[in-house]
Amino acid sequence: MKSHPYLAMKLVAVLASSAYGQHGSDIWLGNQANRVAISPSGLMPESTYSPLLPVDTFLQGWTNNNPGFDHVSGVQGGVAEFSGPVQIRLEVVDLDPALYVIDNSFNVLEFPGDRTLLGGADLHTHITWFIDETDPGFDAEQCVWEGRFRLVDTGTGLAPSLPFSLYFTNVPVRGGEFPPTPTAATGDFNHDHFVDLLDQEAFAVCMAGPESIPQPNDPEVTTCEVDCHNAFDFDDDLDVDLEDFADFQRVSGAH
Amino acid sequence: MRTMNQAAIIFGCLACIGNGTVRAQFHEGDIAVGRSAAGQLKVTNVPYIPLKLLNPVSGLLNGFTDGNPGFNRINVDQPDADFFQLQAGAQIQLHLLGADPALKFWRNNLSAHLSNPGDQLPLGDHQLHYHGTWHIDSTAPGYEADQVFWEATFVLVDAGSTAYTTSEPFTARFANRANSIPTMSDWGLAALVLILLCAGTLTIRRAQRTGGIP
Repeated sequence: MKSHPYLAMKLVAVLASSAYGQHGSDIWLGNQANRVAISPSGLMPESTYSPLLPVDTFLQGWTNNNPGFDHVSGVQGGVAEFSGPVQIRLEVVDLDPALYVIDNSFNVLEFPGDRTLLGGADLHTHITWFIDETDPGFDAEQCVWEGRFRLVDTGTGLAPSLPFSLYFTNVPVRGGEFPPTPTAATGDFNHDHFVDLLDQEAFAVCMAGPESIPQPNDPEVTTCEVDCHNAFDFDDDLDVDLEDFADFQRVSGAH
Repeated sequence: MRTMNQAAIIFGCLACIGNGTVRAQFHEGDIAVGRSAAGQLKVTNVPYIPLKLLNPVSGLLNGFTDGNPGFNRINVDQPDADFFQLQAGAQIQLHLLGADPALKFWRNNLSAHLSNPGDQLPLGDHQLHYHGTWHIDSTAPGYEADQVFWEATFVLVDAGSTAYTTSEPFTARFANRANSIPTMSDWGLAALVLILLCAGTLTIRRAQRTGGIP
């Protein structure tokens, strides 16, 4: 079961991001106690699924360039802005099979230790996340791919960040960009405009308890945790638990 | 009168130096998107987006690329500039009016690109923040290896319920060589030349007044 070390700061991140002129959907980087750190004022890793969109050009599979990386200005969420000639690099710790990172020079990162330069103290960059459906390791039954990374400063010697994970999916996520979808869970799992016993049966398949990502295993309902998140994760903490069930009961019989 | 002339020359030289220094600071920020009070879509830096140097690439794409500038909605109204935030209901599209051959703007998932008049893509809603990939394609028909600058002209269109009117056209310009863009050292050299010319002018005038030069 995956844990969510950053979830406690998610509400702060949502509130804080709206107050600043930066991109709230990006990961904000800065310095915390002489270590490269991620500010909770931006997008927090392990707090959301990043949807990738179908592509069939010189790439085949699913891609997107969100989330990007931005820099903290001043002090935001307890993380200070960079100072001096930092050179912040994204380093691969581990990637699920078929998941790749393509940087702005169109270099492909695929192995642990592969790095790309994100920028200096005023960094702001978007790189491409890519699920390759032609990769021998691609699993068509999989709907979430995990990439694990850390941030390294090769300019001033700040300590590397703690490792963090990003979750990418090839399934539409509510609130995602394309197509625009409702941002709140509705409980209507089967999209029949009613929240009823059929949806409750799906809830049972999805419920995995607090701070545990659902692992549905009923092909007649779903085997994709993102479907559970879309329908039943009312508090947007990536789990489906009794708190969500209370919200589900409130909307049952309505829609 | 002589003192004023000397001062005018000096201040004129200083003004030239100052203007040169400001123009050399090319800003790589996103293209800010908003609207006028009258409801017309607007972007900053009309009609020209600051010149952007693209980086050489080969492999998946060939030529020169970069993901900046992106498009980002403003989140603070600027009444003095008649520049206001987009409102809920907006669905902003980027429409290409025309582009130099070989210049493309790829969608953020690299699924398609804008390169021909009429091509369009959705940038997002009232909270839009969009980065595609600007690309000078060295394998495209019409690519000229000797060409230094490429341009593409766009408008923004609102397909949403806010029905903002179409923006004025704006042009994004790109270069593929660093030595095509004046750098601080270039401006510094120009400033030095100007100082020397000014100093030379002052010397000549002083010599004329003392009778040293006819």
